[in-house]
Amino acid sequence: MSAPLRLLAAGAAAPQSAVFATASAKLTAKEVFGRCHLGGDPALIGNRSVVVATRSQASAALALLSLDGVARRLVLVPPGLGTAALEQVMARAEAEVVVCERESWQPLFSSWPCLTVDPQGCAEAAAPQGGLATEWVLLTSGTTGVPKLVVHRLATLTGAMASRAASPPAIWGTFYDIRRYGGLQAFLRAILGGGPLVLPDPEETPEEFLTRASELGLDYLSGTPSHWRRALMGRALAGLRPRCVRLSGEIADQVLLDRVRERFDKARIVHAFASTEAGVAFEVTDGHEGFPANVLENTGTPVELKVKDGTLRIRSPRTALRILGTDEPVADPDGFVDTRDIVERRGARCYFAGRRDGIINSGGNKVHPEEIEALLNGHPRVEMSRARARKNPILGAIIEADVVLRSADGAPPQSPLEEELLRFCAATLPVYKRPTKIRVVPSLSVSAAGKLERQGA
Amino acid sequence: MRVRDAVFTQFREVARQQDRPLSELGDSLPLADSGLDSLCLAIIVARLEDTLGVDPFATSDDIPTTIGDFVALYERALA
Repeated sequence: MSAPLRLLAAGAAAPQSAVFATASAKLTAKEVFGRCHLGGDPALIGNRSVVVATRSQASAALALLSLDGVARRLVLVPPGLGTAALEQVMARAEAEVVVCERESWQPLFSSWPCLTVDPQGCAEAAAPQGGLATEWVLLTSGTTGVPKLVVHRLATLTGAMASRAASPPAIWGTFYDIRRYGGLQAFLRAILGGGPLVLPDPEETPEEFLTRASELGLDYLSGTPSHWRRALMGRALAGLRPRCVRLSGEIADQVLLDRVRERFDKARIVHAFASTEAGVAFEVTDGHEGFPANVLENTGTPVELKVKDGTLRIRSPRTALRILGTDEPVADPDGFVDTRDIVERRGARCYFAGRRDGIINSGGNKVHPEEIEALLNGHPRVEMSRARARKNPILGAIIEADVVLRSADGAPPQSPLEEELLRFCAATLPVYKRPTKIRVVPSLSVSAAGKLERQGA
Repeated sequence: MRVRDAVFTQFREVARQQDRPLSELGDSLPLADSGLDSLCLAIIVARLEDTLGVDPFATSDDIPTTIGDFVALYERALA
């Protein structure tokens, strides 16, 4: 793909059709593509490294359309990134220009020229200049707390997308923020397919967003398993009739897949394997957790997978190109990206056991918190759960778990339920994997990236 | 007495939950003969930290060998 995103997207959309629907505004193709949305001197962005630090997703989307093909590099700053981290990101990205809304400007930006983005648009659009292969930089949480800056190009980001758009164009919604890999996939699929993307406003709650999305009639809705568990707790899904439901970014266990199936009996339910570094690798549509082992033997597809030292490795044209500001390579010398997701093969199927970095060592035994969570989530009274290590002078660490009860459940006395859940775990798990304590909590936090928060757990 | 009671309660409670046979508790009983394994002891230490608010193992190098030593460790930490 060589044309800039703006041209590709403008070609896909009918002039009067909506491109973005936020709570406050619906922007048609004419408004999005017929106007310039960057205030200030547009010549500033040509061949520069531009940091997109907007508050709203709609502003970010408009900035992306203006920058691809024109800027040398665009850096997508996700919401909630603190000032200290943002400063490090700007240094590593060798930022030359900042794009933000007038109201989201902050003193940190005073050393850089700043362009403001205005969803209402300020002038007739000039034809996009240049056809640069702009670097798209996405941030992921690094192991050291400093975000990793992962470099893609439009071609690697759109590698998994069908070249022929659906007719009529599909309406997309996502629980992800479009400045994260999963959300960016939804954004690009929508905009290249000529269909509207329904975006949450920063002040909208997930319930309000879902209610509005139901009224607009979504065809596709994507999010992480944690996003979906949280949505299933509320009532706002009742009005939705999506044609396709997508889960990615975390392990989709059987209990969750069955609950999604129960709620959306007519929808195609897809759980996809994708990560910011490895890109979209494959989709599973049979409704079962894990994936068919023959995916590992796939030849003749652009995506090659293998398991080495227990973790899934991916070589594909959709993987990231490099990591900015470090010598750390994205892939090994053969071009395979280590996803650090541990895969276990049982017969003709492979299952995700957890993250290499998330293993708990309890008395020399290795325990994946995800295995315990998947079991607890299958208990009829449990909505979601988190297993975590607790430091212990005898065994190094012991395992404790927190559970959120299903909404229909009243507030039960703690002890009988804890006993019941401990027995439930003991019936399946070997002694060293069993939680030693289970707490009922009102909620579990989900990170800005839509994943169960494990930091400090 | 409060500390000893709290310790004994947890020994009994954890033995029951973990389905382990527990010997009759007394100061001279060696921990190794109590019937509890290291996982049980690890759970007891965590629970005592929750109920008494101290983890003497984090600050002391003493390794208790009997139930009496174990209780004394907590009594000293709370003194």
